[in-house]
Amino acid sequence: MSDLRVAIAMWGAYAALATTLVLLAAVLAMRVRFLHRLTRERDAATFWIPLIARCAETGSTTLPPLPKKDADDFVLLWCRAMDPLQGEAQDRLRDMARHLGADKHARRMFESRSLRRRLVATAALGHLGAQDLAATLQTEIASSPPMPSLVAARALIRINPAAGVRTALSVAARREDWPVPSVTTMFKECPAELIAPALASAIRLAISRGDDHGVARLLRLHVTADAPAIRDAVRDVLAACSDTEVLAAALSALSHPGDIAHARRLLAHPEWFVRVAAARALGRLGDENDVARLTTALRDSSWWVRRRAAQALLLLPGMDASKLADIASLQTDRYAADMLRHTVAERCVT
Amino acid sequence: MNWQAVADAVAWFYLGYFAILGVASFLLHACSLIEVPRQLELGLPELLPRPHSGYEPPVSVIVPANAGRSRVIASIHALLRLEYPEFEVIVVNDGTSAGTLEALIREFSLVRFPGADRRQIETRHVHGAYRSSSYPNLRVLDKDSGGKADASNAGINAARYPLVCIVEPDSILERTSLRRAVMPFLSERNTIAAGSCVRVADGCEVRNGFIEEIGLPAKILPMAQVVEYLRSFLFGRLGWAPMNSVPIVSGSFGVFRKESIVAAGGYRQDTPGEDMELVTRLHRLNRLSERPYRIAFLVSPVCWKSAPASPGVLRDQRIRWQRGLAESLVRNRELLFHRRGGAAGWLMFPFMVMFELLSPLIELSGYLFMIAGFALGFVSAAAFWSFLLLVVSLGVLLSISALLLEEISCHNYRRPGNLFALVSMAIVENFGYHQLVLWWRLQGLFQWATRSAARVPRITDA
Repeated sequence: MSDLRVAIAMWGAYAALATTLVLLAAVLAMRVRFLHRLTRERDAATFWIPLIARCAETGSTTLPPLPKKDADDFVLLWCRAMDPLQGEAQDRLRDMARHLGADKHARRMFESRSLRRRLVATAALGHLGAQDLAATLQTEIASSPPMPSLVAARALIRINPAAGVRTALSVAARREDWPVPSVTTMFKECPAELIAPALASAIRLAISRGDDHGVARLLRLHVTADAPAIRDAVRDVLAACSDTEVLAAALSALSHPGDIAHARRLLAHPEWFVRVAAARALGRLGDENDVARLTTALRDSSWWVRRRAAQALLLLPGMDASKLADIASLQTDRYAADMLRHTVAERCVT
Repeated sequence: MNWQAVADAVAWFYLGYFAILGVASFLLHACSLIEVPRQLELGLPELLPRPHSGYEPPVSVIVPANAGRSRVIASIHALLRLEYPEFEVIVVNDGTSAGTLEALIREFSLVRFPGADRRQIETRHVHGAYRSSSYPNLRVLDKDSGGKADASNAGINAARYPLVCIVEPDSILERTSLRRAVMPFLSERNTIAAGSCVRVADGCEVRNGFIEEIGLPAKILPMAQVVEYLRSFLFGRLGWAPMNSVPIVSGSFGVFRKESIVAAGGYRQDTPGEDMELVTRLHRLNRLSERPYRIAFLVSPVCWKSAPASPGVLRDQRIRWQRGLAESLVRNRELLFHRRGGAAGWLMFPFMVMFELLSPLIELSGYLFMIAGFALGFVSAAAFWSFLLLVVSLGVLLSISALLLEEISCHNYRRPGNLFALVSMAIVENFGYHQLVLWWRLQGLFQWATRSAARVPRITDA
């Protein structure tokens, strides 16, 4: 073999070994740093958690100074303690943070390049009601990646609930990367009387813009609001929109028996998932007049429509196992009878 | 014929192969380094309320049970204790040993149940469905034996929920496994599948079906597989995630969108590597029809498995994996260099062919060529040793870079001495173990090429 190939192989091997040594050194350094961080976090938790708990309970604890090495960990522990609390206990913890200078430290963390430190600081400053950050947070909500923007939205809602909810709703309508569960949970922390009017006007605004996808996203947040308060908005959607995704979302948000006509009408919609949503709505809001409709739906070509129709029949007022058994025995369609028997048996077992 | 010229050409080929392998591995490592921080960002949920809002999609957990009754029962008990808002467990009794169904009926108070399931995927005959009167979210299907793929398909037919999670009965999960595995479906609505790192459970402390404390195995073969799994998952799979080209979602634990798996026709029953074949098929079908989709891969482990401790069992496993790999690639060859194939067709697929499918043949023939050449005198001692040094140093580099990814992402192995043991094994496994596995994989490749009818028994997978 030529010297060139030997040289290439040798230099390739040396390069691989040198890279290996560099990576090994990085692994060791990271392990040392990790162990050091674990120890520091454990010590900080052991020291500060009892103090935070006492402070939240009585507010009269004598506080030691906050060492610089504990400051980051303290802010995180403090945020975690704040989350489940309400009222005076939160006020006492805010006093504690200000007394220790944690508010100033959180502002320094907010300027950090580390995402983790910035997120913790955003959450902390939200709890502390840092009004001067509202404009910065509004920019973050609109433009940052999902996680920082959601943390910013949550902080803004704490600082200024009315403005925060309005901003978050308008962004939630268009940001596909905001998971609906996270947004729902965030809004569930707010008073329902604040959410409902804002949600209703956001839905109407999206309708006027012709933003069907935004309407559907907003309708999925209906569980965060007081149902009667958004009833008119849902009816507006059903009257104005024909997009199937929107119709299915609106049917899921139907909450008043007076609106049952929409569900009855849409049980015959050509799109199967609209019929599924209509069958579910009839299960929630329907009465004995819907037995025939749902029995017809038991013969639907879509398995899910048959399934939801059977479940809806079970939920109708005055229905019991014997009546359903009678309906099943009258079915000439095997799929309809099978589904009804299956659903009844399921209910009996559970 | 000038034999020296032939030898020179062959030597250039091997050198080129290892050079490309080195560069490709370096790029994959870089991709993994891009993906890890992105996932760590998703892992800062302590700052947000937990998304247990009722909007988390319910999941059907499917257990294709072909193991012994005690293992199946223990596995079901652990699955029923998973932390997740809404899920059902569907156990598919697929040719288990006699008495397993009766044991399940006794243990979980099962009652026979009228079925109304859609048969969207063809399967062997399902004799009956049972439902537990003690655990409302547990169902059992009893069917003719048809193998894991057939059992999984029967479970998918019976699944009520939009997401299905396929779990082997010998998989050990963490309580939060399901919640973590569903995260990609919440954060991106085009997600159709999510896999995760699988780790070796040997040496870990397991209590009530869950991992309590992570450790390393004492035996050499499982220990070598710990390093191998780190390399394979943190490198060979995670690195493809930013390009949406994850080549495989492990059969041990994977979450799928039910409608996607049904639309693709479910698991194939005529291949030993049904898990890889399904994922390659999902890539092919979605890429070629230009449907937006995403197959996600989680860096944090959500599933642990016992590694084969005997050479015979390990050999059978690797033969079967290699045959499965070959079948998956050949059956979905339309994806290779297809104009709509994207990264999956233009990068992942050729990489799998060159560095996974053909690597046993090329690497082992490289060893043989160098040894024969050295013995016959047309390869110099310097060339021989530099070739060996290159191969071994590349192997060590790949293992250590996987360790680096583990250190950046998970810090799972925290006991004193764990890091030293892992680094030692990352070096040692290149002297013998790696070559032995190559030999078994070559046998698998040969069996596939000759369509050997010899049935390789199914054992623990990753």
